[in-house]
Amino acid sequence: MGEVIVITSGKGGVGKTTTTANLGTGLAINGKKVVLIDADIGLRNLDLVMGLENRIVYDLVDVVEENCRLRQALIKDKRFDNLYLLPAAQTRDKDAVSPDQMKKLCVELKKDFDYILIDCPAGIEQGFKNAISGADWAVIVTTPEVSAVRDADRIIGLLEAAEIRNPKLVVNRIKLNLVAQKDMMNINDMIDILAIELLGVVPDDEKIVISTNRGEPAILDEISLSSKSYKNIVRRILGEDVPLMPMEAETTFFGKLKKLIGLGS
Amino acid sequence: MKEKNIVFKGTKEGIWIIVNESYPLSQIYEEIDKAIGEAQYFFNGAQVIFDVGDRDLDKTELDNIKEIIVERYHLELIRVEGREWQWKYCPASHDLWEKESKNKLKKDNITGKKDMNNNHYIQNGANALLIKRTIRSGQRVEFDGNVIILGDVNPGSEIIAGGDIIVMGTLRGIAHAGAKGNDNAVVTAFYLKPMQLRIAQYITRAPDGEMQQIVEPEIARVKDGTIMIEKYIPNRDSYGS
Repeated sequence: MGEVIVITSGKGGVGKTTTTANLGTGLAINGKKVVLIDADIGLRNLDLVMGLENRIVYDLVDVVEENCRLRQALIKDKRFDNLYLLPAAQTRDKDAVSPDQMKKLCVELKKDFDYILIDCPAGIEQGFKNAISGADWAVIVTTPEVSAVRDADRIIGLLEAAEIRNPKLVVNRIKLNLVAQKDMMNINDMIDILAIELLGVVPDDEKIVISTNRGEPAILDEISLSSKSYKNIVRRILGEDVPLMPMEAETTFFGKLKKLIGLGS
Repeated sequence: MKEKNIVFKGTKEGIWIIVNESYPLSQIYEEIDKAIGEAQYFFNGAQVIFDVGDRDLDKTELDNIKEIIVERYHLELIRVEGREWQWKYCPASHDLWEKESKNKLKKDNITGKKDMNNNHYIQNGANALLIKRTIRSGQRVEFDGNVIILGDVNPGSEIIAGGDIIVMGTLRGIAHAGAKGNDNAVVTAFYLKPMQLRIAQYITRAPDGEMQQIVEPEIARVKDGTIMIEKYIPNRDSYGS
């Protein structure tokens, strides 16, 4: 029996879709059978990030409206045979699907897949309600900004109300040098406010922009820091106990120099 | 989606009144009466084609239709059209109605995905929709006949036509020509870079990775069971031949 995880944030642009693509790909690398569902009907993006846009024939709305069988709408990933995408419809809106239909769909997919990741749209309206309706637990994505943290807090409250317990936090796009200068929100401060378990921290990485535009999830990149962070998050989802990566970055020339010659800082 | 019982459609020939096949005719008279009554200016003096779909009508039913359209609203009834038969009112004939068998032109929608929600087949060239703007992501154009776009078709949008699709700009979205099974339909564009091309039941997608940069008009059509894209050559590819 599979696990349904919704990736949500409240605020837009914090990296839900990127996180979904990377975690899904990561779970697939680990041999799990994974399906990604794009619940952002009308503003779909996950297909682009996965580089699968040109393969879409049927979508989520076709499935719930029974224009096609579920099997027909699932798009197999280019790179992994055990990774699938169920794209959103682009020419419809959120009202085309109801929470009950999503719940039914998740139950159906759980039979065949180990992990079902749902990319939730921004906001707290119909699209959000649809996306969370079938979820077993949630990953909250936030960035170290007061507005994103405020929205994440609101989302956690709504998830509690919907009886989706134990959401876990991914802090995305942290700028290492700013944290070192104490100009950015500290991760501990964020956990203090949100009071949920930290699943991982992903540094701000230009590579993400490149990989997103290419349609290749960044986790496939062997060396980048963001790829390592995603891999660690995946291992934590799989139940391993992985310590947080050291996220300090030297900010000054002298700092770097000191470290180089072994004086520490 | 809730299906409407009556659909009005303006064409070159006149106004089509299309009646849902599953809706009993006896109940439809009142509804049509009301609909025309509410939009009398729209219908004023119009020529009407009454489409009853997959039904065979008797004289009383035909008379009832004529009663509403001709006698009550003084519109001109060109003909009553069904899938297999069409009837013309003709006072000279023995029982006032002339019944003709139609060539069975309509093919079934093989792709089965998009229900075009109507029951008549319009031949290539019979009808065209001209759109003078860019079709953007999330927008969807669906039309029985040919579709001509004076503008671009962006990724994430869909053009679905019963006939041909012509884009006077760049086609980057999804185009489905001959959506009701007509595999003679073509897709032409100044710059043909679609995400996906569908003609009748055939489907093809853009290759992964970098695409060849082609800066000339191209035409896509079905040849030997696959969709082929070629340079558009005006004389060879002109229509009406």
